[in-house]
Amino acid sequence: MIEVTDRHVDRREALARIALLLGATALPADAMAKALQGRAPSLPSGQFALLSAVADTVLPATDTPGALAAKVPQRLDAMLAHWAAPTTRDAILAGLQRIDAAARTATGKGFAKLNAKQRETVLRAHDAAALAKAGTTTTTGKFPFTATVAVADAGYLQLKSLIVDLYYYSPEAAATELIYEHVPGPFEPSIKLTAQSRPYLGVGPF
Amino acid sequence: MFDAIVIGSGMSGGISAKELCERGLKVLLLERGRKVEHVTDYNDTQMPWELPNNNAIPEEELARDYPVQGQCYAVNAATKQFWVKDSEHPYLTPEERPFTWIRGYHLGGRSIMWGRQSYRLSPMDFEANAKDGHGVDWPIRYDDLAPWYSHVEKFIGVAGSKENLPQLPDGEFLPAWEMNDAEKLFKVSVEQKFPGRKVIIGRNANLSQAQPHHEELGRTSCQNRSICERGCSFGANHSSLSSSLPAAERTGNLTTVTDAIVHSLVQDPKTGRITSVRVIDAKTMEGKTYEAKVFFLNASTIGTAQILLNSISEANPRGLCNKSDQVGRNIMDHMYALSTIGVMPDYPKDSYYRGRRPTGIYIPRYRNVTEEGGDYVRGYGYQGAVIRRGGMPDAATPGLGQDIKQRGREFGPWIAYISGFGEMLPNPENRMTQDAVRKDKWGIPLLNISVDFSENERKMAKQILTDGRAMIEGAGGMVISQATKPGAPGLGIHEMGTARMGRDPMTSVFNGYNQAHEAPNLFCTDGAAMTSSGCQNPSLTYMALSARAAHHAAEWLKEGKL
Repeated sequence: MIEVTDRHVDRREALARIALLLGATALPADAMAKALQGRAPSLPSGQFALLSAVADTVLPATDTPGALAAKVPQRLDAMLAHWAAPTTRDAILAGLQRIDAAARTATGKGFAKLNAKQRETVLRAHDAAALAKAGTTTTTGKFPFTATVAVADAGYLQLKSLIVDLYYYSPEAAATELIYEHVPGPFEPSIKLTAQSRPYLGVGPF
Repeated sequence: MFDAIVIGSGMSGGISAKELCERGLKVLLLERGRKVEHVTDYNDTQMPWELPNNNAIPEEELARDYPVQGQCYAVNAATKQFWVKDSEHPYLTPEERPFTWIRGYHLGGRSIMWGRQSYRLSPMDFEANAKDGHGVDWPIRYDDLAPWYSHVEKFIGVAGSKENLPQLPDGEFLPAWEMNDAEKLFKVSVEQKFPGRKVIIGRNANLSQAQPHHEELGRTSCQNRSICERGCSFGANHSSLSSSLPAAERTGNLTTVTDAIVHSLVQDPKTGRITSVRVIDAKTMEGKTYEAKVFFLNASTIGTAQILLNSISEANPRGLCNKSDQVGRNIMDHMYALSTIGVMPDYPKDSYYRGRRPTGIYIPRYRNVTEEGGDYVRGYGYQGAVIRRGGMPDAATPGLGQDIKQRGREFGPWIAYISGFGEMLPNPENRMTQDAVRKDKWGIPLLNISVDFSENERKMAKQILTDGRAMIEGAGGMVISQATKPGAPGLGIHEMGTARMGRDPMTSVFNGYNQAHEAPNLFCTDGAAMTSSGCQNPSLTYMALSARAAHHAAEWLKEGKL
């Protein structure tokens, strides 16, 4: 059994909880964020500030919440501490550091010290160069869609992928950008798309 | 003393136990893994962001403890508890003939995480060995099993459409899931371009519409979540925990013991009867013996053969019921991961669907049925889907901020993917043996499992990919990705054949009632008993064989024949 990071979920209430979710369109409170509040990041403060600045630039608040509201820096920090092997962690942090280096080369200041507009300018240039295709893309048989794209800066791609994934798998993004239904109910095989339609966030193999 | 002992609580053992209990037998069910509770032990209520590490298993833990299991698509943080730690349950496999052994040791076994696709074998599958001479003849024919397929389908609940295809007999179906608009178009296009081929909705053991006998067991209709492999708190998919074991328990005849690793069976050399089973407590290492009148082996294909091989006595120096030397041989899986993926640019742009349907589309076998197979025997089917995977934008495409969000909001083109499942022939050289030296921590010899595809399979794999491309393109698609070879044997998780049924005791282990040729009160109804593999997902057949054998065993016991 998984220990939920936020709180102890009473398993005996599992069915009752599902019943509550049935038909519920609003998403439950952001329990994860609550748990993350007050927890010191594992990264040194300078690096965490850099990570936050990058996440905020990759997915800023627009007409919808951004990466900061979705607690992406805190959740990514937790993954670096609890999920990543040392080589992965080093690669991601090196990718992060190269953004800072690019900022210093371009402006003489660290990335986190720049204003939003400057950050965007620096990261846009860096993003384009870092994601230049290098070598061949490999796919694995694990999922039909699992592809490893070879790019100039693999550490940066991994960093950006985690920022994007964690953002979309957040209550904030699922309530505004996409739709996540934990308990969809009956399958509807044909829906007419309108200008208001939003894609569903997938989970699991289908 | 029990009337019957069932070894293994997974897909087939659950049904064996249920059927024996319902016929009034006092049954002891032995499970080598830990106890797992339906609903309370599942991770299916968490929202995606409530799962640790975005539902990924920590990389070092994955590499250390799950190097084999981690190759399976269904392994993630939410399901981690249902896969063995390879580090705790090692086996040996040669580098050039590797077997990928995917398994779960806990009450309910792989019936919790299974893919739920449920297809009958057909008359031609039961006749195949006799016709082309591979392996030995099945001792039964389709008609022997047909009523038991019906019996099991009704009980577990299989959703499907009636198609009237000789190579894929219809069953007792709940209402089928519907195809989306793109799949309907794909079906029409493929069926027009390739007369004789059919695209049908996948037949799956999820309750599209729970019936009263399902609801009596606490099962309800499927909610289209498609996180079935985490265990379903709705009991909407069939598993031992949701379905067969509750049915067995309500008879009052079931005793379940978990953490009970079967070491071996004991045979009376005079009568040939099995008298008892030797068990090691997984936690305390304490040895125990249980006696019964009838024994059912449902320990899974590899596990069952391991018990037979480890049941060594003076009379049986190479293992129990192994005069034929077929125990541990003829391992078959289905060729797997032979996928072709294409975009369908002209498919309806204004159409979408809602819900995560717990099945896909299925293309039943047509090679050596309606179309020649060329230079190989048998055939293959495809599983797949046509989906519109909007949503999660690709991080590898340059862009920031609003660019990413905009891409996330857009509906992309339809994507079709079909993945072949190819029949493997029984080959005695594909086998498992006990290592002479190395043992697990319970003192049971480690297994050495050595499997490879033969020429027939290699030719078939090529054709699976050629046909896959032709069908995607024929249906208006552009292929964007295609596998080049099947996954390692075992990855299909359809391993079978290690103690096959047959007519001749010199070439097979179990007879047409799944009764051991050499031990009248020993039955085996898991994948080990399979004489050939067909190309259909096999669990339904194991369950039908279990129900049928349990029926006969109970009858014979009543009549004093056992």
